[in-house]
Amino acid sequence: MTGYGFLWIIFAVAFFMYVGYGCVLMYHWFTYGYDQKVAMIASFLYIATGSIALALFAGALV
Amino acid sequence: MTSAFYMDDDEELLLKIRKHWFLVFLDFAIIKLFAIAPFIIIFIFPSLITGVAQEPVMIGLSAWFLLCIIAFATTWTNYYLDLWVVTNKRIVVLEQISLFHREETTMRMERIQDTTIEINGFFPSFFNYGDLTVNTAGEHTKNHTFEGIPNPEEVKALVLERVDAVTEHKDKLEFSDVQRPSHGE
Repeated sequence: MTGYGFLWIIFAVAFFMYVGYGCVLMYHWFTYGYDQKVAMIASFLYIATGSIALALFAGALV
Repeated sequence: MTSAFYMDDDEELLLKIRKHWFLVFLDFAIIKLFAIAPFIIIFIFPSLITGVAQEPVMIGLSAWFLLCIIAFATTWTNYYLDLWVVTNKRIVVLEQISLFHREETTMRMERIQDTTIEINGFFPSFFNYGDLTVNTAGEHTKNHTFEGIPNPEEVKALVLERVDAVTEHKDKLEFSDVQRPSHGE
């Protein structure tokens, strides 16, 4: 893991952006969205696709 | 109807308009190209995921995907939250300009003066989408342009039809007021 410190920083930034943006986007979908079902599906897809990216990350650690 | 827009009891929803799907498809296509770019690189250099560099590649890939997901979601949010609502009384423009910048404008039918459509280019002509500009009368005259709406001619016709109907109704009311004798006479 040492020697790839910059990658860890990039990943950490991307992860916190993902979480932070996700919270803001979901707030918008549920508050200003025109259909709660659409907001729920969008949130599910956001988390599901993010999980795939995180699984890749976990795969790198194993 | 929505959590963001409320109508009066006697108000009737005529149309909800979003940008044409082709515009958001173009944005998605660009992001998709960025998302699959690492796979193309891995396809060209397969040793990246089999050799000693596997771990940093996977970490980089996951960070890249997270950023692509953010781009996808932000693009879709901008598309989904931009909406024109046409009712029998007014046009409501709901615009999500950026994540923390939202505008809501109401144009009453009786204040609308002109509408202009512009279909410019190959794809807009082929897929029948374009820009619709609505001019409103008043002290602070403002033009509202909704870019890339599908079937702009039909929307324009509907808006003008409603403007005519509202103006005619208003004229009739004013005329009947003039004709009605006052109580003093």
